[in-house]
Amino acid sequence: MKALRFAALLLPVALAGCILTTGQFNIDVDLDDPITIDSDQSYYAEVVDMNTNEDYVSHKDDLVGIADIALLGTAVNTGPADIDVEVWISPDASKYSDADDVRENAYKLWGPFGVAADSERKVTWDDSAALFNSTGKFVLLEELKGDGVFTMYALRTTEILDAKSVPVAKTSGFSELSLNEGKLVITIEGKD
Amino acid sequence: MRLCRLLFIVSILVLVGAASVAQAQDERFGIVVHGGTMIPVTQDDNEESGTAFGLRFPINTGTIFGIEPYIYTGSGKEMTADFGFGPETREGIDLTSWGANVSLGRLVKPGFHIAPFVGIGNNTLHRESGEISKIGYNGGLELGIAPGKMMINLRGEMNVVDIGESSRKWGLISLGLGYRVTPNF
Repeated sequence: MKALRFAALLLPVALAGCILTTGQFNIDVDLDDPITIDSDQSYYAEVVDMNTNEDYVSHKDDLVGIADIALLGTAVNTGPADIDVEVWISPDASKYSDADDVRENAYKLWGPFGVAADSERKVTWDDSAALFNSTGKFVLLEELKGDGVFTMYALRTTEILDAKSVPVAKTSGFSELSLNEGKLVITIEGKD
Repeated sequence: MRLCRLLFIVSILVLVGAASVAQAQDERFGIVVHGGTMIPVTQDDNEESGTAFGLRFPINTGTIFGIEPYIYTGSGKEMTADFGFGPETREGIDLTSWGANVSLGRLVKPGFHIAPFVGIGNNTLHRESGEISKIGYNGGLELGIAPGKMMINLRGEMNVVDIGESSRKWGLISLGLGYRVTPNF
């Protein structure tokens, strides 16, 4: 009986010790500052090499999943029309030629995040985490488990309105967008 | 709807426990209201401790093992982190858990007791950005005294929620106040 009680006392401790080897860890990635899409550009592309990030390198071998991701920063729309910001991802360092090419071949990772005409809007952690796309998240996870190199694209979309102000199409033009102090925060599932 | 489902399942568990008590006339069960703190463990995106409150229904089975259906809800607290451009906040994860523990030793008895326990339950993790329900596993230790019909207990436990290839973990420290019941079946 005593041995049984002793074993039962040790069981939760052993269980806790075993499971404490996994957890959620933040990796924050600096993006170009600022990211700017001028009115004559259709997108912005940045090759991200996670192998230069110490936190990623220390957890890479133990990485099993992504718990949470967020794109942080302040989006500024200096144009006369409301825009939506989207982020797309492709699993290598190659860059597509224009926004249509990106939409056809890459994977949507985040967005849309609306910014009114001639205004700025901070992308908060809570808001941002809710805007991630599951397909893009899967592609990101595969890249994090793989070579850690991928390309991120920022696209801005402007709605074209008809005479009654009803949206009839979307285009990647007109307004200038910038994302200031941009950070990608990835919360990974990994071992301690 | 979810609350109704939870209450239904807890009721079923209590009835099953009561039935086992009925087979052992001298045994008892109890009801414990508890509150305490819920401490996230190795969660960089959910670092702040929150509060947890709930109910437990310890039942003596007539053996060296006790069973204890439980339900509790915990409120995660907003955390702040600085990634280089000033403070950023992230809402905490709220946790609702229900299930059953098995203890080595009786949780309902006069005097003083120490009882280790393990358990399994359903856990709902909620944030504005999403909600998941997963199985979790508990383990811990209870220290209790029972003056008269009252029960006072202090409990430390770990709750590990299996979220696939990884887990989310909380430590819970709670103080419970309960009442021992001798049924007259």
